[in-house]
Amino acid sequence: MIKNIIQKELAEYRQSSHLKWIVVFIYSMFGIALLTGIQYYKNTDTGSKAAQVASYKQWLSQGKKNPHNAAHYGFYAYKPLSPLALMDKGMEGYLGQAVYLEAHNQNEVKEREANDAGSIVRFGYLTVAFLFQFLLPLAIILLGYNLFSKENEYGTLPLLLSSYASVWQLFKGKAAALYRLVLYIFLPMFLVTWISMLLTVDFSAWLNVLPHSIFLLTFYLLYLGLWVLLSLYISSFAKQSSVALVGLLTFWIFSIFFISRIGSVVVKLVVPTPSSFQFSHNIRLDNEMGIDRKTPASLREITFEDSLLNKYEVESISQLPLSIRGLNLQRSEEYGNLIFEKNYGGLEKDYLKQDAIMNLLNILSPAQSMHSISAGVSGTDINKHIHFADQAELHRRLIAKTMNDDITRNSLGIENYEVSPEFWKKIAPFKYKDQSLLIVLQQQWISIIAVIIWLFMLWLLLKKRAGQITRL
Amino acid sequence: MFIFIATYEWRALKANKMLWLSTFVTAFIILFALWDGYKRVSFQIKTIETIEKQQKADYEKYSQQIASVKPGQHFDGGHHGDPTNPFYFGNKMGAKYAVLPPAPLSIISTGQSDLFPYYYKMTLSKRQALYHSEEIENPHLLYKGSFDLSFVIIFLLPLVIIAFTYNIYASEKQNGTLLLLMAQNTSVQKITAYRLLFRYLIFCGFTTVVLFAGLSTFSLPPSAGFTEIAKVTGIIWLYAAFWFAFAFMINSFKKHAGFNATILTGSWLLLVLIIPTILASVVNQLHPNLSRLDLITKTRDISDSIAASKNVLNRFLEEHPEFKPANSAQPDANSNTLKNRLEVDMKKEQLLNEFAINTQKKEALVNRYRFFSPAIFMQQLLNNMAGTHEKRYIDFDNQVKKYHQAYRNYFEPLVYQQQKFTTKNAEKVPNFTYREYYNSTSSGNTANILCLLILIIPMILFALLHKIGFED
Repeated sequence: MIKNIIQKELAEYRQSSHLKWIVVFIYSMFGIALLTGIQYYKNTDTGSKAAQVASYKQWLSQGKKNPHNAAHYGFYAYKPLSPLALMDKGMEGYLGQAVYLEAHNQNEVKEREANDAGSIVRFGYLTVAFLFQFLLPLAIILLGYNLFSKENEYGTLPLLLSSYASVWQLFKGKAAALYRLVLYIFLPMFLVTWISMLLTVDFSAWLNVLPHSIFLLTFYLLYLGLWVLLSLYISSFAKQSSVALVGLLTFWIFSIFFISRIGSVVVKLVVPTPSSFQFSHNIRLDNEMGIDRKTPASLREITFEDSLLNKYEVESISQLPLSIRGLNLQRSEEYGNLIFEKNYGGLEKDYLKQDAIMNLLNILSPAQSMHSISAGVSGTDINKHIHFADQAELHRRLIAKTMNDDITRNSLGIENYEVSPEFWKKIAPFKYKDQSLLIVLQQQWISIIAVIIWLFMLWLLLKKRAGQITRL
Repeated sequence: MFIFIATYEWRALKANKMLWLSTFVTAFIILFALWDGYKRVSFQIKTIETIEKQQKADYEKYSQQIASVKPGQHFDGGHHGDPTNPFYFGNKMGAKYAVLPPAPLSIISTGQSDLFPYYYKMTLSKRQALYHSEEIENPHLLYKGSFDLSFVIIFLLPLVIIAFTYNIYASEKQNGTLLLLMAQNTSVQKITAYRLLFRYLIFCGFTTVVLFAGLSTFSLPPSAGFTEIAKVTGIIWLYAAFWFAFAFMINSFKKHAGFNATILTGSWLLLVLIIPTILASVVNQLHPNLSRLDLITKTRDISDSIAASKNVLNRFLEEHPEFKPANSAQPDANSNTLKNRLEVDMKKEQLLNEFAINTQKKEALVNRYRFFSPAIFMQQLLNNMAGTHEKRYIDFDNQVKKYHQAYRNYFEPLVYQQQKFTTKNAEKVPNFTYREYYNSTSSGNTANILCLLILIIPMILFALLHKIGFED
């Protein structure tokens, strides 16, 4: 029976002209989005890899130098792009791509693409993910708003019900037909994106994100199914199809535009962040006065030197078997690390709190939940950004410590201490190790559950609705 | 005739509960958006005040320290913390801030104000350091965009207008009152035009009242003058006129309400979302962002080659003997560092110009095709009015660039001549004052307003003159 209903619906779709227009529209948008995505990935990835190599080469070619000067010279760590960024740019444009690793200072990840992109990008980026998350649901609405209401309008409902089909079977058949149609539109696009990714990125990188891609595919299938159920559900209430259409469009607009902007306001109200000035001023005060505001820099130095005298059982600093300069540099570096952990760590926590609130609000909008999942899995969200920044910071500390330890051990009694260029090789190039898919999924648990709940809820509501109509 | 129709229209509107609800919602979102803008700008004003206070306190503190060092003596607080050394004073302690105050109407649009800095810290650093002075904001929030008046006007008001107008003709048909109307002496399209005109006046009048109330409630110094507010109101009236005229045109096709709603909402989607994102993609495809990462590598290469040449400062001092240190002392390391930094900036000028040229090219392209969507020129107009347009930030950047030059030039001779930095020197460090660029009657704004008018008039004429619709 369901098979017959599916065939009936598909036959009706085949006759409708607006299906053709929708497909033409979606595919033209897809073409632009994919080309833009490929170009974006190629430019960013090539630029980032080249810069990473160049920066390390500059580090190695420093020549003879004092290790502390070398630590000041430092190098840059560049955030590698996941191949999935080709599909979903997420918030990458606003995240920054490079961080300077230097002595004494933890720096923020800078070089945001949006600063050079002009105000037009504030309307949003046209990406393949944007199409899947926002425009395909719209296509589903346009194809499904009258899925049930048309039977009311044409007066064909009693005819349908007089056959052996139950309302629930009718629902299932109609939903399956629309879903099949959606898959005809969606799957080729996903496949083409997959192949384009294979042709654009290294095979090993493509293989690495294969589980991510499969996960995304699965979730998109659930997500699109959710919109099919929603369209059918709203349509089942409407006496006139236009009412269903207006209702569905209102929800679509609410999901896509309203929730996210309202979210920004709420988030800033609940978890405010400091100004950049206040942030660096706090670091300055922590440095000058101590984190507890009771141990100024000079006191910290005296206490440290006293502890050295005790440890090495000598009477004056000049009797120490190691270079006091190196020891002091490392001490100040380690205190700096505490300061940065407090300040940057605090800011990162605030960002993650803000994101958690945003994700909670996103439960109201399946589109925003899917957006969050997709950006997370594609490595274009704030979680990966923080993960990268933290790893880069560890590398910065490694550079400083290696340089300071060398000064401590080897520079005692040498006035203009310098090391040969061979020494710079002791620091390996920075290599970012990505988070595992499992960790990413843990970060996205609210959104993942939200999409699943929406799907189940709609399924149950439809079943209930079928019962109501049967009783009518 | 108009007054007659208006009276009855008013009675009909009064009885419409949905209308009152949407009126209440509109008022609420306008006030909510203004309140959010008020919070944003208050935060900026507070930050600027804190900065100015801190700068003053720092100058007082370090001037006291300078004064406490007796002639012939050395500062006993450590080499790098010596405020009598012009290099350390200019490079850290005596940092001055260049501040861009918010424009009078900045609460109406966030524009690019969340991306571009509104204050820069001036030190003896390279210009690169200025580029890194971004304000702290969760990238996720930057991506989502804020709930400002500009968002309400560009995205939401058209939807309210659509809800207000989509069935103005079709409802007569549905209610069976169309024949009665046709029996009148006045033509149907004239009646429809009058009804729309009346609704337009009601809608805009109401919005104006809410806007004036909101702007006076959430007023911040420097408060906007009546003319400024009137200009914003005028722009809203024009934008609303565009959507009313568009609805009039669609109504004139005499189709059913569902068709009108679909076409109007579809057009809304096309104009405020699809066209701007496509244009953004095309602009980025034609003029891709130049690589900031590559700029980092090039800057370091320039810096390394200047450091390696080692005689930049000596050559300069030979050409400018007046800058040589007194008592024929050798130039010190700080003089070398400062001169090298200035030299790097000079050599980088060309590279940075390429970025500026690329931004101009993008903007020119957006300007050429902006008439495809009134949302784009509304964004430009409102950002211009709010003083949050990219151009104002670029102008601020250029003024800061000159000021940074003046700041460093002030310290240059003192550093080279290895002079003691005195309290008198501290008083003479140049200050920054922003010369306002903001101009609401700029040619770009006039062109945008003309664009709107050019779009509105033909639509009204079409609806009034074409015969297929109302007349048959």
